[in-house]
Amino acid sequence: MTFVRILCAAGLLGAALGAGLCLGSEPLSPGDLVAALGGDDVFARLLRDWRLPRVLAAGLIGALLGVSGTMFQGVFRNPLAEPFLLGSAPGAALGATVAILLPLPLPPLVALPAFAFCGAFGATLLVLGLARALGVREIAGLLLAGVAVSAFLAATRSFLMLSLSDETIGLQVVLSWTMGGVQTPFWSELAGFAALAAVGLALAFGCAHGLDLLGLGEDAAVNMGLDLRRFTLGVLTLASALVALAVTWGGTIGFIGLIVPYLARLWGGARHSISMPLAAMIGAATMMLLDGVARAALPPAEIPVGLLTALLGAPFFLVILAKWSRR
Amino acid sequence: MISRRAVISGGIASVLGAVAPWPARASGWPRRIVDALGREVEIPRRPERIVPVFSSNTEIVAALGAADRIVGIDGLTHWPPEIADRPAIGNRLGFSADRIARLGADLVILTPARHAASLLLRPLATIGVPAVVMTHATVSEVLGNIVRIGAIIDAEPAAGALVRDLRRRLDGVATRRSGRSPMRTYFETGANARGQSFSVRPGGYTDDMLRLAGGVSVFPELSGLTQVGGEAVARAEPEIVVVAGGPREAAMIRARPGWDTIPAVARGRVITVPRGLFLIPGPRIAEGVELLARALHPSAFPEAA
Repeated sequence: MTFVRILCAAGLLGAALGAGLCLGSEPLSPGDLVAALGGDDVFARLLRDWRLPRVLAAGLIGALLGVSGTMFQGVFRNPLAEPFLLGSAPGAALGATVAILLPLPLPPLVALPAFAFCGAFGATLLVLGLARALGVREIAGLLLAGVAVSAFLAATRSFLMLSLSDETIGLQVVLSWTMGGVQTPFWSELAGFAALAAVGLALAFGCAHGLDLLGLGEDAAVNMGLDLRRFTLGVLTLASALVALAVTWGGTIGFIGLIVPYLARLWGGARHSISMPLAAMIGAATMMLLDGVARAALPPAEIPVGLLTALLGAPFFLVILAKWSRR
Repeated sequence: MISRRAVISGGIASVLGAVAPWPARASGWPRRIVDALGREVEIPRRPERIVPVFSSNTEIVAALGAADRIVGIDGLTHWPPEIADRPAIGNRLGFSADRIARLGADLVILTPARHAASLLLRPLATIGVPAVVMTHATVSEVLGNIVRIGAIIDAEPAAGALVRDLRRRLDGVATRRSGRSPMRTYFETGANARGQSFSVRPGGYTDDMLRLAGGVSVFPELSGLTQVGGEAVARAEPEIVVVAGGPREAAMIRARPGWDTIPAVARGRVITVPRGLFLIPGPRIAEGVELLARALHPSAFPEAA
């Protein structure tokens, strides 16, 4: 049964990859795509060396956001927990802004993920710390703390953008991070991105058993030998790292970390050893498809994919909220 | 301190200074050129499918007799009429390397405005479509761009003839109005519905055109921000107000609160010039200079009256 689900998800992934390749300012039919890929003209080169790496990058971003969302929801045992709402994505965006705008003695490919991670992790700890200091126990309170911290971080980022960007590329690059748009990597950059993502996802899948125990309740988990404090901190660190990696190549793309884990649980059940790989595959397929739509919706321009995910995700969030509050 | 007059006449001399014949007359293919960003670009063979991005580049390519080789344009380009129906590869929201590739372009000529360079250069380099970046800080550089584009699209004779003609016309205007003192001008390049108005940027090609036509901006010290208010215009005491636009823009000037106290406005010394002639750094600049010179110094052009 599990095998069938994984197989179906893999099929979905392949279909999304094909759709992502077909979508553009002038969509191709699958037949056209196959014919065009084999050619040696400019358009064939565009498909192979520009669109394909972009679609794959979108897929990796979706997988990272889906899995990190699953981890956040597992730790907080709540379907409303999401990297975007708990401060980690806005924190990563602030870190990325600092890395882009301040002159640093580090190459951008190191500085960007490192600062994004510091921002993501710092913001998550800040939200949790504030919630604890204020005596908040309910998830609603945690989300509200996240709202406050996110607003603060966004204001800080806007101030940095206004005061540090010059007339050159700075502001535009930072804006594309803010609105969420998949960057197109060169093949060599994609290889580095994919290697980091693979390590991160493998480590994340290693947390599956602990998350299952936590799902039984904190007391039960402790009784079964889980070091609650260490495990929670480890999972949040790792989830922040995944978010930071996703933000480095895609900017702040909201709600994927909310929708995808929900669908993965709906389809694969509560066991994280199944729901996490499913979340990775569903997340990848969703992002490849949505990024394609973002490229094809308003030709010849493209719209930031973060706007699409928010348009779809915000109503979805409300649906989950309604279900959860009727519990 | 250098007098304003000395600065002005020096500026005109530099405007009409020699246009560097760059690159040195190329004949065979491939041709290598260094563009305005200092990038070395190789053009493997004579371009047959050209995508000029922005009106200025499109107008230059068309004026060199290569309109039939233009396969795509920017969505905001409407001149000359025979290219207006070409597919658009970009608009206010951005530009599409995807569509440029679909058109099978073999040369893209662009300008670093509206992020065209940051959006297009990386994908075009990846897929191997040569892209040449033009800038147009001055009238002299615009004339140089005609020579450069002529060289890369294999239209050197047409480019040489066009530049000679434009320079002859600009020299002709200078001769006709020589001896007359420059008209102190408030040149408004744009305004918006929120009541903000913008003056010509000193040292830019539009400012060059104003000086070639026998005018001088009343805001020679602006840099960066070019927004000016009614009080500043009143204090600067322009002899004439020139608005890039049509009757609607001229009416907007008169309707602004307080602007009727500006002597030039009160005396009806408000004229309009077509935006396409003054805000597109292409082959129509000489037409713009001739038009504006006749308006600023009508007595120098008796036959036009």
